[in-house]
Amino acid sequence: MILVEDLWFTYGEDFILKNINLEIGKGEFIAIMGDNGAGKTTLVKHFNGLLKPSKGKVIVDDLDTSKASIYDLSRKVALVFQYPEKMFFSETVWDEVNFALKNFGFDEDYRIHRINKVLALLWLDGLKDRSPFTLSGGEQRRLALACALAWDPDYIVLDEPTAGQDKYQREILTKIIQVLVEQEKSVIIVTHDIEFVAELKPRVVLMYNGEIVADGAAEDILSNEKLLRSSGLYPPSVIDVSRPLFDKGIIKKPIINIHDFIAALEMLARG
Amino acid sequence: MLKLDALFRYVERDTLMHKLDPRTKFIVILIYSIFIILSPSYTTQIIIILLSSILAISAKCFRNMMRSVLTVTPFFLIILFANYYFTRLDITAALTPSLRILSLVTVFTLFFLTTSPDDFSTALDKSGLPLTITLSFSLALKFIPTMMQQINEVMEAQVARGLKLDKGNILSRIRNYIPILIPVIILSIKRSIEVAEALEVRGLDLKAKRKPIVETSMSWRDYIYLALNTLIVVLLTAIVIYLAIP
Ligand SMILES: Nc1ncnc2c1ncn2[C@@H]1O[C@H](COP(=O)(O)OP(=O)(O)OP(=O)(O)O)[C@@H](O)[C@H]1O
Ligand SMILES: [Mg+2]
Repeated sequence: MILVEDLWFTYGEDFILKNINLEIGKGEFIAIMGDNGAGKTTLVKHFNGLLKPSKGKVIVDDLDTSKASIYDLSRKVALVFQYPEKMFFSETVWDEVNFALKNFGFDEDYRIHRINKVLALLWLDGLKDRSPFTLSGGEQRRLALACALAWDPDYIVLDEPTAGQDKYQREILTKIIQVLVEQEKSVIIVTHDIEFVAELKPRVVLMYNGEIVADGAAEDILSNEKLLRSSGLYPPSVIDVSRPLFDKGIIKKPIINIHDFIAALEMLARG
Repeated sequence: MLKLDALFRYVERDTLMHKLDPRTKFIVILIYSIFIILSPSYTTQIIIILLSSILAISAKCFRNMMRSVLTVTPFFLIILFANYYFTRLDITAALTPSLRILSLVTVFTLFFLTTSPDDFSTALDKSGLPLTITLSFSLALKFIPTMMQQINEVMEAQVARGLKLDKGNILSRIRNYIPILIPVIILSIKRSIEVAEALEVRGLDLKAKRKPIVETSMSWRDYIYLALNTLIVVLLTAIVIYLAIP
């Protein structure tokens, strides 16, 4: 469990994070949302100890992040940053994935087993011997994710996983997240991609200006237009049609994604 | 973890050091650099470090300077030990090359901390040097903070993958930095190509005559500062030559 208690953080002048309280359970799937500069990245950098609280505390399982090393914390919490090209340095995709496994001291048999497994999971098996630098943007993203999944961390944090990705990449990502959730990994995505969140319906933590302004089910938060707009986000597009239907009492709750909407229409058609 | 992005970055303050013309400060650090490189005496280098520290205090950026100095301390120690062991010299002889690095760092840090990159570019433009040189120089200067931030980001990404920077002996510690150096170098090359393209599409003409937007001028303060520092360096040189202190 990741436990954030009364966390305040400053880089020197203003507080970037203010009074953050959050509990992320094992196996939970959660989206941290908010507009640019809300403090999302700053918050998740506390989960593996890259940043230490200025006030309050962050506990990961039994480790207090202000005392534990980044190394020990990273073993539990993998952080995948937005720009994968900022981490590649190996000659081959295989070596790139192997890097963290060596750092964490796994033996060779286990390493080979894990690399094959994550490369298959991320549809990268064919690219083992390619240079990470020659991969497409989408493949690089997947490789970054493979690198983080390799050592089998309990918590996986993805910063802006869908930014600049086409529909195909987003579908792959959706599938991978579903696999991870099934394996009872905690998956934390940091994003302002409202449609992606509406599709996956995780628990949503909404941030604005360094504070958590809402925390709840995706359907409640993403259908609350006023709340979203006051936090600098726009509601999912399906809301434009589902909201009037809900107001007229035709459907029972405001629907946030197209699949649920079609299902609801089918129900209505059948009577 | 080490915070690199604020190192060497211009700190806006209203002090005498900040008001000096960038050219004055640049000439002064050139004079000091030549002296530092040539001087065989570590005592004079310590004096220069002290002088820069006093100036940094007067420019209200002493803490920033200390941070840069702390960052180069590992290199300082490596050079010190390398000189001490490999050449089998005594500690006094080993101190000179290592303190040379440290004093160069303090002198240059003081310059970067108190000179806005924009003022410096303007000053360079007026120096009469070819634009290719002045432009490269001021671009390089402008990118120092970006570069530091980038190193920081790469470092964060790699330690998040279990990289331990302070593991092993000196040799393997240097090797630990490879996963940081490679992405940083590749990103820098990419960025320099992008900057070149951006300058080109915006019609940069290296041969055209240019007129600065902001005027800079030397005042009596600059001449006094220049004269004082020249005097100090002359004195230090005299000390080295006539007193032959270590
Ligand atoms: N290294 C730093 N030094 C000083 N301030 C910083 C630093 N990094 C971020 N900030 C500031 O902290 C605030 C929050 O930044 P953060 O990156 O956490 O936002 P975010 O929610 O991730 O935004 P985005 O969606 O743009 O990624 C911003 O105002 C930013 O300017
Ligand atoms: Mg961010």
